[in-house]
Amino acid sequence: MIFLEMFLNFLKIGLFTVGGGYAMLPLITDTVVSKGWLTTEQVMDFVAIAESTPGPFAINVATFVGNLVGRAELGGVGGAALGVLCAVSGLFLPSFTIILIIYKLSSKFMKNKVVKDAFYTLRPTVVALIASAFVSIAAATFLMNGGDGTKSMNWFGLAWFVLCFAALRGFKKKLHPILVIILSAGVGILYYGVILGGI
Amino acid sequence: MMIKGKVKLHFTLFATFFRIGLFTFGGGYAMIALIEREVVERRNWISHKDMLDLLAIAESTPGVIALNTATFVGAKIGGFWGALSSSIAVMLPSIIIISAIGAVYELFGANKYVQWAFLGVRAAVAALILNAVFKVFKSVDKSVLSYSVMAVTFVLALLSVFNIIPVDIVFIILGSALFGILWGYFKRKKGKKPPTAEQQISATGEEEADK
Repeated sequence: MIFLEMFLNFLKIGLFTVGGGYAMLPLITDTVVSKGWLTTEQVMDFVAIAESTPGPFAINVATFVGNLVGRAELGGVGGAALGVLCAVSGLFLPSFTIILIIYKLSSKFMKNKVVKDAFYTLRPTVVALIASAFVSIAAATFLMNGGDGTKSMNWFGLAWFVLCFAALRGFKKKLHPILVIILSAGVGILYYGVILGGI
Repeated sequence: MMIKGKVKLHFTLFATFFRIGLFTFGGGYAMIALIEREVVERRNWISHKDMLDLLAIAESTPGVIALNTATFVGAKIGGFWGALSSSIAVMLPSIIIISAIGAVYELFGANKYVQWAFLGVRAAVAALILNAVFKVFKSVDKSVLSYSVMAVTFVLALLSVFNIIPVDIVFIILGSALFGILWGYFKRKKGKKPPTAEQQISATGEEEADK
C-alpha cells in the first residue's frame, strides 16, 4: 500500500531531521528516488517551486510529492488529496507531538547537557548531509543524458550555476532566491529552447 | 460567554497562523520575522524573551521549524486545541497552493517551454542547495571534533547517495547524535576528576604492582 508507505516514510523524515527545510532535503530525495516514486530531476523541479511559493519549504515539498504520487496511484483529485494527506500528516505528527511534550516538560529540556552534546555533533552532520544531497543533485544537473545513453558535461549549466551561487551569496549584489529562479527559467527557455533549438 | 471567547481566541490563532503561512516564502528562518511581528508585537501573546527560547527549541527539535513554532505558540495560548489549530493553519496555505500547482504541473509538465525553463532552473536549485550548506555551516562550532564528524558523515552520506554502501541516512543521524552524547559524557567524566600528579603516580604504581 503506497499511501501507508508514504505516511510512514514522511513520519521517519519528520522524526529524524533537525533544522527543518533544506536539512530535510537529503532524506526526502533519498527516500522518494530510491522508492522509485520520483526522479532526481522531478525533486529539483519541486525545490524550485517550493522556494518560489509561500509556506514552509518542507511542507511544500511533502505536498508536492503526495500530490504526484497519489495522483499516479489512484488518479484524479481523490488520489491526490489522499496522497497529500498521508505525506503531510506524516511530517506533521512528530513535530506536533514532540513540541507538545517539550511544552509540558518546560524549556529546561533544551538546556540539558546530553541534548547539547547531541546537537554539537548533529550540526556538522546536517551540513554533511545537505552537502551530499548537493553532490548528487549537481551530478544530475551537470551530466546530461545524451540520446544514445552517453553522458555529456553541461558546461552552460555549470557556468550559470556559478553565477547563481555568486548572486545568492551576495557577490557584488545579493539577489533574492525567487528572482534567481525566475531569471534562470527565462535563461533556460532562451538557451535550451532558442539557442540549442530544443533537446 | 466563556465558549464564545474561546471560539474567538481559536479563530484569531487560526487566522494569524494562516496569514503567516500565506505570506512567507522559503519557510523556516524567513518565517521567524513575521511570527515575531504577529505574535509578539501585534498580539502580545508571548514576550520577546519567550520568542528567543522558542526559537532555540524549534531549531533543535526534529521536524519542520515553522510547524514547531506554531505548535508551541498555539499550546501556550490555547492548550492542545490551540496547538492543533495554529499548526494546521500554518500548513494550510501551502497545501492549497501546492495542490493547485501540482495539477497544473501534471498538465503542463510535458510542455516544451516548461521543460526548458525547468532545465534552466536546475542550475539555480543546485546553487540554492549549496547556499544552504554554507548557511548551516555558520552554526557549526569551529573545532577539530566538528570537522572530523563532518568529514566522516559526508563520506558515509556520499556512499549512501550513490548506492555504494546503501546505509539509511537515519542511521547516520542517529550515530552522530549518539557519538556526540558519548563524547560529552566521557569528556565530563574526565574533566570532573582532573588527575593530579600524585594520583597519576599512585595509578602507575598500582599498575606496576599488578604486573
